Amino acid sequence: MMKLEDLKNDWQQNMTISTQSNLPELIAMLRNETSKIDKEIKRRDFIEITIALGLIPVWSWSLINSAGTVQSIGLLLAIASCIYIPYRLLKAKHVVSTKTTSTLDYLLSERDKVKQQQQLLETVVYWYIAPLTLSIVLITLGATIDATGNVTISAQMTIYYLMLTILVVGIYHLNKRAAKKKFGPLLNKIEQRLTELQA
Amino acid sequence: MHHDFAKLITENQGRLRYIAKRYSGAGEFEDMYQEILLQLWRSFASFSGESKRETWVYKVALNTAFTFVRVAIKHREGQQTIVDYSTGDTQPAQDNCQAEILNNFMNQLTDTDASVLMMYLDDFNSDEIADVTGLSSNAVRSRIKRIKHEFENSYIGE
Repeated sequence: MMKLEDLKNDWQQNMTISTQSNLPELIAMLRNETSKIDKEIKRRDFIEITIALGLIPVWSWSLINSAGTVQSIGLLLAIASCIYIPYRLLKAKHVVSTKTTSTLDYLLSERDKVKQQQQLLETVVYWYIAPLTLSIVLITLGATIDATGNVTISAQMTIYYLMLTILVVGIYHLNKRAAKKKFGPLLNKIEQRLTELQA
Repeated sequence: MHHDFAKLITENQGRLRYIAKRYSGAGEFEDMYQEILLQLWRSFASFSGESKRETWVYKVALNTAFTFVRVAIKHREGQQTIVDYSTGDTQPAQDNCQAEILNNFMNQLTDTDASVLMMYLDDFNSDEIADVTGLSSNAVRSRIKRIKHEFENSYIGE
């Protein structure tokens, strides 16, 4: 009868056979790939933060020259959104799970991280789309209020709001689908491994 | 650091390639192997040397393989990849009969059991396997017992 012990020698021999690798080139390539990934992450973070923070002076200047209360509320909301959105994005990105812990610990922390990212994407309507849309609506609507307090929405503005609604609904659905497609398979994989480990 | 990392890869190439082969889906081997090397490189600075090198390699490689989804690295046609540099002219000698039996058996096991078996064959004791997997030492021992039993039942008379 063949026993597992009989295969140990064979296995260990196979595992320690080193192929003729071009190690200096391999390491150079790993360094390149790592710095490329890091640069890409930094670039993305920088763009997200710069756009959001860069808009604050624009909103603030508009607030000083605001046409009325409605527009001011819209501008204040826009400023708050420009502070809150990058904060929320960066906070989610800083959840890291280290690969040098045990598989069980790693999978548990990775599951939490993925769930948090999935939830972030699923709830994008509440913390990203809704405040920005509402502020845009209030800012534009505020500009149409006349001295008597009446709102006059032109045909062009009606089309604009209609397009905005379609865009917002589209973004919402795309994000919802992305959350499912991007994180669903990974979450399933993690859950499967965890079930196996804890069985 | 580069020299140490090169040594680590040289010593563990067989293991890393086996892990990538065992846990990758169809057409995923290259990407997974590349991702494992990248994660080893990224984590190498934090390797304190408190545990055995092989234990650390197993942790990083298995954790990467277990959560690998094919999106990390896009290959560009006509460009060399990390795998091109790390693949030599010869492949590990996995072509003998015993290796084939082991491969077949390994593929029948769950992913967790396969990882336990790999480390067992690498002469890890149950505490070391427990350290990598997060299972208790007792749970590791009973898994090994069950895997041995399954193997012996599958290959009676071979």
